Amino acid sequence: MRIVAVANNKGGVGKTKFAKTLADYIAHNKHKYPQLKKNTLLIDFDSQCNLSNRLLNMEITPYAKEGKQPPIHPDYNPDNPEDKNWDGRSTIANIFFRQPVIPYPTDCEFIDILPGHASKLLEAEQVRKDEMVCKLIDIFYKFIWSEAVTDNYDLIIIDTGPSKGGLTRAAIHAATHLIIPAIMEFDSIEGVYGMMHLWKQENYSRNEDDQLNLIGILPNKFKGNTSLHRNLLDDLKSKPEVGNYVLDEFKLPDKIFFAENDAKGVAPTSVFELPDSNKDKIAVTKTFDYIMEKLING
Amino acid sequence: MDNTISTKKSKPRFGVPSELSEGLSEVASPTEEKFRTVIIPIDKLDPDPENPRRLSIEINDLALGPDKEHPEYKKKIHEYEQLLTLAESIKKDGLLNPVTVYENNSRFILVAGERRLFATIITKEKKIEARVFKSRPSLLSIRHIQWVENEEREDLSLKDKFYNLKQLLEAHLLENPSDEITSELIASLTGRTVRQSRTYLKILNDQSVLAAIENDKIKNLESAFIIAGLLSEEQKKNAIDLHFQGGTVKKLKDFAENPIGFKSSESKFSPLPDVKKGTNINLGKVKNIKIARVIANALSAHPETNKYAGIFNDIDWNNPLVIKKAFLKYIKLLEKNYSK
Repeated sequence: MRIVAVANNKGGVGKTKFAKTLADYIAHNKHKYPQLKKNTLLIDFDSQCNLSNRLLNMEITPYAKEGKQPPIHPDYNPDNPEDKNWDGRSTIANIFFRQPVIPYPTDCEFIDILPGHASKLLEAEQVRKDEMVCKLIDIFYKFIWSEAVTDNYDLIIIDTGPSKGGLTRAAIHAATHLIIPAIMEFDSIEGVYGMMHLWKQENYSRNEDDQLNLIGILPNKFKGNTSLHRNLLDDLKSKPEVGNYVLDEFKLPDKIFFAENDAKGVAPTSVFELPDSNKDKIAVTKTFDYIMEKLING
Repeated sequence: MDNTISTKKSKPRFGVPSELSEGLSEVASPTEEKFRTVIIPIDKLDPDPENPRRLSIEINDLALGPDKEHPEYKKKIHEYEQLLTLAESIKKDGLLNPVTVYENNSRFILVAGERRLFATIITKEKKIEARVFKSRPSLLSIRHIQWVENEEREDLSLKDKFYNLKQLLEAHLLENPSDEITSELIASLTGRTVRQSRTYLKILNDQSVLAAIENDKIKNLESAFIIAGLLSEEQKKNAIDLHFQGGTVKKLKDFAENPIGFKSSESKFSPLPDVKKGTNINLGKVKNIKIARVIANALSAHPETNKYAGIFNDIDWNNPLVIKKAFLKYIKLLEKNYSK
């Protein structure tokens, strides 16, 4: 099973967009990967729940703290005695409160999602430093590598929040691969440093044959017509060692199309539904072909 | 922070700030000596035969305390009491910093963390968290690990600090014999700023000051730096005496500005006439905590000594170690007060 953590402790760099686009890519290109025999699971570890909101109709309610909770699960049947003690909703945060987790289906039959829950995720992360391992990191690791998960999924994509807190560390500890989307601006590059530091620390505690594979630093929302973005990308690429991880050939452009995708009721809903000759589709497909290649074979 | 490489008026060129660049390159570089952090059984740990021990206390002293008949009993009991305090902290908060070992056949050789190991044994734990290198790290790596770990100790003496620094520099020079010891080198090895490293370098270049530190006559870094700045050996000797007799940093600075006016025999800081310089007076031991409390109350009531009595408020009168620490602190304050 492959688990890819999408992380950068700076917000707004496009982690959620990347995770969603990777899911879209799999939805449209799974036939290219016969190794993927089971389903793909998305996990929303960000308390902002943007990924959950894009794939499910998260409910806005004044009664739930932070105002968003997952919708009633399609499998919930209030008349079923087995569902008697269930409120009909499920989130990834449930694992920290010893409550059952039931993934939600999405529009794609082989992609499921475990949505976030703003207040529960924030509450779970409020642990002391010395409790982080046993209360967050170990629990998530045991869950993700349990038979219930590995029997049903062979690819998991974790969207993390903009932090280096317990949830991000839990994701990194459980993952087999890490990708760091970054905007070519100073704050975001600092976030890259923070994540690479976590990556290195994680690998110190792992055996040699079990290392966390860094797929790369993916330049995202790239504005090719600005000297800031171009210069910083060139400079980063030229740095010894770190330059090897910069995926400059596969940078994703800053296109309004990606933002428009997210609007409900707008077609097409994915760049992969555009005609094959479309330049954006070609560029994005090239990026995700590379990323999947690293995930499956790297 | 200037993040531009050149600033031609027409078009600035942007670059990643240099500190961030260095950090990125460092984290991206493959490590030469990888280690993993695991829990290992304590009975599989051995001392490093190539690394001279600094502690007098041995493993067999830990169960019941050091043997009173041992010639080094005084040093051992002092170390033992420090280990007891560390053991309490480990029981309460866990071992915050793993010991460092390397694998040797099916056993582990301790590179750094003897005090933490001994304190863990005192807690009766059978296992300990360790950073495990696959093979013996280079001497320079070992010295660097020891430097970093020792820097985190609150009770690290100036003597031990300079011992560690000299060891680190010696290890560096073994690998780089043509290098000169400069403040930039010290900064790069220790993680200190160049300015702080100049302080260390000045002291390292002064044999009298180093000897005084080695003999526990100078215990304060700033004082050592001031004394190392004096011109003549006689002035340094006088300043060391001044410091040893309890002279404050301010007095030392005054002395440094006017060393000629100072004569040892006329020192205002001479000890009381019937006590030899440097002699410690042992005020005795008690086993009965009530007696300690009576003495503390008496000190608190006396007009000359009650200003420090707050030390005894809110201490745990059931814990002999805590009571001892409070008395030690109190006496130190009294000494400082009476040496003015």
